[in-house]
Order: sequence, then C-alpha cells, then structure tokens
Amino acid sequence: MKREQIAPNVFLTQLPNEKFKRNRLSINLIVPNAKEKATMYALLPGMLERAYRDYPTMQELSRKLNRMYAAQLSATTSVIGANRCIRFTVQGIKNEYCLAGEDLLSEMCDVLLGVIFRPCLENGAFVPEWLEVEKFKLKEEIEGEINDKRGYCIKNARRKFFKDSLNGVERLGYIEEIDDITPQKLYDCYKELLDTAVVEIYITANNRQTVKEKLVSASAFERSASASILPITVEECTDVASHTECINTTQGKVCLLYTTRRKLTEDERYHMLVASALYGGTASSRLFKNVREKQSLCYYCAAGFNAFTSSLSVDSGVEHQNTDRTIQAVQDELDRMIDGEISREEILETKLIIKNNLKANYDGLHGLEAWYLNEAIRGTGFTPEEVMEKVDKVTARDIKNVLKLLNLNVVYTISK
Amino acid sequence: MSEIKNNVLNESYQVVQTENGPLVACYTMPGYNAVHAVFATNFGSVDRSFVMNGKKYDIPAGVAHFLEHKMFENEDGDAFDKYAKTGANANAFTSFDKTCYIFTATDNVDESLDILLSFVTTPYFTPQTVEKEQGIIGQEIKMYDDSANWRLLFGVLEGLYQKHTVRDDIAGTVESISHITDKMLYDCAKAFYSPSQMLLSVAGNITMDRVLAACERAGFKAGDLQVKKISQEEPDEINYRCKTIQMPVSVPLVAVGYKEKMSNPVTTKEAIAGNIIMDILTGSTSKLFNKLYDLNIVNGTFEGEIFSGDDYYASIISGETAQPEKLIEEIQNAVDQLKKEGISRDDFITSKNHMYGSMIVDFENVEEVATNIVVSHFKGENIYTPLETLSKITLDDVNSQLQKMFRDDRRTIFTVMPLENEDDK
Repeated sequence: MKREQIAPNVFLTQLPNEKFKRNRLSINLIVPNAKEKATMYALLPGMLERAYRDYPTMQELSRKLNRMYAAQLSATTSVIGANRCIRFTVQGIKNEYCLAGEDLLSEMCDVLLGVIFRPCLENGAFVPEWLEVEKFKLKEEIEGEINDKRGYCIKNARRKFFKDSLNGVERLGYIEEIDDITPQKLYDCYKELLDTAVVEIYITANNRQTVKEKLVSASAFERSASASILPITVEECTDVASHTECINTTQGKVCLLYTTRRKLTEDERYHMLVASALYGGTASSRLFKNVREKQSLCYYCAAGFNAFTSSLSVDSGVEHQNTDRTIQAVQDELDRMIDGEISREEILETKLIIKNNLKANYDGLHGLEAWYLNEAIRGTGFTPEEVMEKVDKVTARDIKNVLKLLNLNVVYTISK
Repeated sequence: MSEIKNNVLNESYQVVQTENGPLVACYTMPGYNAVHAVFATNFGSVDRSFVMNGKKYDIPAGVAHFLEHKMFENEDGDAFDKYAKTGANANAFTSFDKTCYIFTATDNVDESLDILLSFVTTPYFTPQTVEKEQGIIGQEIKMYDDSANWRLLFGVLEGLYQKHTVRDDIAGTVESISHITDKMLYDCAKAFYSPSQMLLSVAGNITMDRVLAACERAGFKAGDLQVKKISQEEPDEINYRCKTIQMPVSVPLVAVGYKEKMSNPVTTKEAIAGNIIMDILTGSTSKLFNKLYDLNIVNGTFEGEIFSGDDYYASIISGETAQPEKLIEEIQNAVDQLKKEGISRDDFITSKNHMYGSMIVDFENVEEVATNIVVSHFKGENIYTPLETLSKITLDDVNSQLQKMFRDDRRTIFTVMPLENEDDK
C-alpha cells in the first residue's frame, strides 16, 4: 500500500492487484455532512452517473459500459459519522482478458473522470429534465424505506436519539426539501463539493502507472477553499426513551440503541471491537447463543458497533408477544457480560473470528480500499495486521470496562 | 484425479471421486488468504417425493431447509461452537435444488474441514430439538412473510406453476413444518446425506492433498442405498393469469412472469440464451428500461431474470412502480416488438460482451468459485462450461429461442399493492 498527497487535500493510494480478475478505480469526495446540503448530496450521484459529455444519454453510457465487458460504474452517497462521502468507482476486467486487445484500464479511467468532471449541462447548470427524474426517484426511495422493516426500525431508533446532530444527518436527505432544489442550486453544490472536499483516490490495478498519471493530472484543478474531515463526536447520553410504532406486520422488530458515555480512546476502540463481537456480532456470540438458540425468542438478534458515532445497536425480529421478553433478555446479556464471567476461551474464539475477517480484507477487490478509506477518515492508517495485534492484547477486564461505558438511550419497537 | 482446464483464464482445478466419500473439487487460487468450502447435497426445497430402497417417501414443504438448520446440532454439541474454536465463518443455505454447508477461513482450515465433514454426515435429532427448531424457523418464515419482494417472487411462481413444488416457499409454512418429525428428518438425511452422494468443493489457499487428507480422516463408510427423486408432472398451462395482494409497502410492486417450455433438463445454452434475451429486453441498455426510467414508471429495482432449474424455466420481469397497469402494458409492447423485429447483431455483441465480463468476474472470488463448482457439477458439467457455451452461442440461436418465449397464454401477473386503509399501516 502506498498513499501519497498529489495536490492540496488530494491523496492517492495504490493497492496491489496481482490476483484479481478485475481492476478498480475510485474517487471519494469527503466533506462535513451539512444538514442543509444532505438532500443535494443524495441527488448528485444519480445526476452524475447517468451520462457525461462523451456519452450524453443514460442508454449510450450503459451501452459503452456493456461493451467494456460489463464494466461497472457506480456513484454512491454515504454517511460516515459526521462526514459525507460521495464515491465514484469503476471496475472492469483486466486488459489480458479482453477479447480484442483493448486497453480497458485506460477506458475505465476516462469514464470515471468523465462522470465526475464533465457532466452534461444545459445553460450552465444540470439538465432540468434529468433532475426532475432523479428527484422523483429520491422521493420514492425515501418513502420506500418502510419496505425493509428491519432497516426501518434501526434507522428510527437512530433518529430518535441523534435528532438534528451532525451524526444524525439523513443519508438520503429530507423529502420536504426536494421540490426546492433547482438545476442551478444543485450545480453550485456540485462545484462547491469539488472545491472543498478532501479527495481520496484509490487505484487497485495491476498496471498503475498510466492511470496514475491521468488521475494526477485530472486532480490538479484549482481549489480555493480549505477542506476538512470532522472528528468522531459523541452525543450526550439520555434516559431510556421507548417508542412503539404500529405497522401491520407478521413479525415484530425491536432495536436497542446504546452510545458510549464518552469518546473512546484509541485502545478502547479495539476493546469495543472484541466486546461487541462477543456480545452479538458472531454466530457464537452471547446474544445468538442465549437469546436465539437457548431461549428461542427470535430468528435473529445481532449487535453492531459504529465507531464513527460511538453507538451500538442491537436489533431483533420477534413474535409480537415476545417483544418485552426479548428486550429484557438483550439487557440481561449485557449485564451478565459486565458483572459475570467472560471465559478465556470465548475471548480467544471471538478474536479468531475477528482476525479471520481482518485477513479476508485482502481477498476482495473492494476490501482493502474500504479498509484504508475508513482509516483515512479516522486519521489513523493502521494495516489490518496492526489491528490484529491490538485485538490480540484485549483482555476480559478491557471488555467489561468498555461495555460499562454503554448507556441505553432508545428502545424502538415495531408492533402490530 | 482429473484436471479441468480453461485456456481463456489459463487456470485449472482438480476433481477426485473419493472412495466411499464425496466427489471432491479443489480450485487452488494463488495469492488468496482465505479458503471457502462448500459441502453440498443435491437435495433442495423442490424435492418432496423420493423412493429409497424401494419405499416411497412424501415430505411436506420446508424439510430440506429444516434439515439444514438441524444438521448443525450433534449429540456432542453445536457445530457453531466447534467452528468458534477455529475462527471460521460458517453458515449454510438451502435453495430450490440443493443444500450447502459452507465456511470461510484463513487459519485452522484442516480443523474446520474436519468439523464440516463430520457434522454434516452425523445426523442427530430428537422430538424436543425438532420442536424447538419449529419455533425458530417459524420466526424466519414470518420474517420473509413481511418481505414484499419475497412475496412477489413466490406469488408469480404460484401463478405460473400448478403443481411444481418450485412454487412453495423454500422454508415451507408454519403449518407445513408442524408435520416434520425426527423420524422424517432421519429418513431424508439417510437418503441425501450419505457421503458418496455429496460434493465437497473447496477454493482458495488450499491444495487437493489437504482436502483429500481431511476426507481420509473423516473415514467415510460405504453405503448401500438406492435413492430416486420423483419429479412432478407439470402441465404447460399456467395456474392463474393475475393476482393482487396488499401489504404495508410505499409503492406497488409488479412481477410479470412467463412460463417457458425448454428441454428437460434445461440446458446451459438455453439458460445463457435466455439471459442474453432478457438483458436486451430489460437491461440498462434496453429501450424499455431507459424509457420507463425517464417517465418515472420504474426505478433502479426494475429487472428481468431467467429463473430456471432442471425442470422449470420462467422469464420474470419485476420492479416497483407507481403505475402498475402502464408498466405491464409497456412490458408487453416491448416483448411484442422484440419478437417482431428480432435481436440485432449489434445488440447481441454488446450483450455477449457484458455476459463474458460478468462470467470472468466470478473467478476472482473464493466463495463464487467454490459455489459455482457445485452448481456446475450437479448439472454434470464443469465450472468453465458457461464460459465455453457463451463463446459458441450465435445470434441465430438467440433469435430462435426468442420466438419460443414470452407466450401471452403463459403469462401471469402478480402485484403487491400498498394497504388501502392507512390505519392498517
């Protein structure tokens, strides 16, 4: 892995790629997640990925990608703690597999730069008809979140706690703001994004030099403003607030949202990595074994820790009549971990699973890129091996101490 | 031992039929850390009737899936607990035509292989453990009952098939699994889980010697079983023309399905030709998708798929839409137009390139490789067969198949509408 600064606030990371069949390029634009721009950040990927000046319709660009042996172009918007990341990626088979000797890697680079830097414009702003289509799609997507009841329950638990804080800004923005967004307003937001974002570029390719030159040259554009990535912030804890929403479903859902009472230290981050996995992150975790298997209370009961918001969510799909028992069982398991015994054996087993997953980062085309992007946003830059060493040092006492920092803020239930 | 090679990828893998044990395939992938193993039986949710040693067995919907859950529990403990000591990520899944027990591991692979080969071939059920599992699987079934996309798929399959068990949910129903007994599970395990009927497929950072050594350690015993699956007679006609249900969803979902008549068993060439046709009809470069997207009739959920197994083949086009009737009309118009005009050479080459690239990608991932070996070998082929078939397929093949497909009298429409009464939400 080699990360270098190639322009002010622009970083390029080269990752090895001898074994994969494809190459992958990505450009990530990272900005503080301003609430007033959230809806525009949600609209931008759809506007940009549908076409650019060389391939000025959605159909022409799709056809180009299919001709490039199913090259995949994607533009996404994600929320990472208090920051927003707009990511553009293209991946396609390596040149040696092309049937007619094409330089596909170079074409991939052209497409990636095209969608980011040369959008189709009309009167100096985005194409109005396209914007109307994307606005409609965004409205549908926001309204459609209820279709996935599990995700909907977790999102609502988060909403109840994070409210208007930076950690609570909606990934898809706000439905009531969509109508007011004009082609010019969105174009201005896009220009500002290019001007102010921290840019992280990743090349996962076997022949990196040519594309590196193209990417370096394209990144040397004028940037007037200063860029920044916001650090992890922890919200003030609250008393438990219970919310129940009635939806006509066969199965009920429940989500318990915990946050830490203070920001974790660097060491505590790894203590929590092991603690949350042991609590509910694996198929041999306490929640899986005791709440699902022993008590048969649910089909799933899982815990996940978000280090960027210092929050731990536990969610479960339950029979409506078992909801209260499940909520109690989830809390009891946490208390048992804090007050009871944690065996050396179960810690070792959990560490093995975590280390297994860390090593697996090397086996996916996207794995190392995702790893190093998260590290860059955190401002650390550890390798998976370095994290494995930290994981190895975690003790039962560390686990108990870090779990003691958790405070239950919200219990969100979907009931009949 | 046989070595199966491919010149496009310049790669190969090995296959060995072990004595008394499974067929073993090993795809060594240099540079990878992980090993993915799949121990599979050719027993899936569609298999509901079989003859074993002269006696006929009929089983309710959901037994293959139920068995998958229960196999993890042995007399000496739970397989997940054993895997926890090796650090492997273990799981299992049941599909329409097979059940697969899998793990991915970077360390302690030999130990994980021992666990896999042991628990899958050592059934242990009691009335109490069966009863407990009925509760857990009942929850799983209810979870899927709330999934609009799941209901849409099985709604359209029920519309297309009158008798074929592909129309039944893989997990069965709360009612059907209530009939499952420990005796029934033992019978099915005996019929479909004897080691010599199974396939062990391993890919990644591993060699055949290590896999064979694990089989040796497992000490498989010879079985003497005659098992024959009984397939259902399915008429050519569909079950119903259209059906609508209501669920708490924000936008209606529509699926238009066509019951296609292909060879029995369906050939790889027919499956690939169908995928090319579907890509040209509904894919991202199609006139249909681009028109409907810009008219706000569909969104990114719109898709066309060929849904096929040995003795079933359906073309299914589905997606969310605020205008179900308009979408159905536009799909039918596009089908009629494509059949009238035929597929152009340019569209054919674009789609073929698309499919070629997608197939190459499948060889960079240990999970995909190990799983695709299972799929291909259960069909009596090898993992490279689709790639080789694609290279030989012609425009005439595709146009000729197109003319057989999308018959109006074999079309069914299934719609999921939002609840009418807002209070129900």
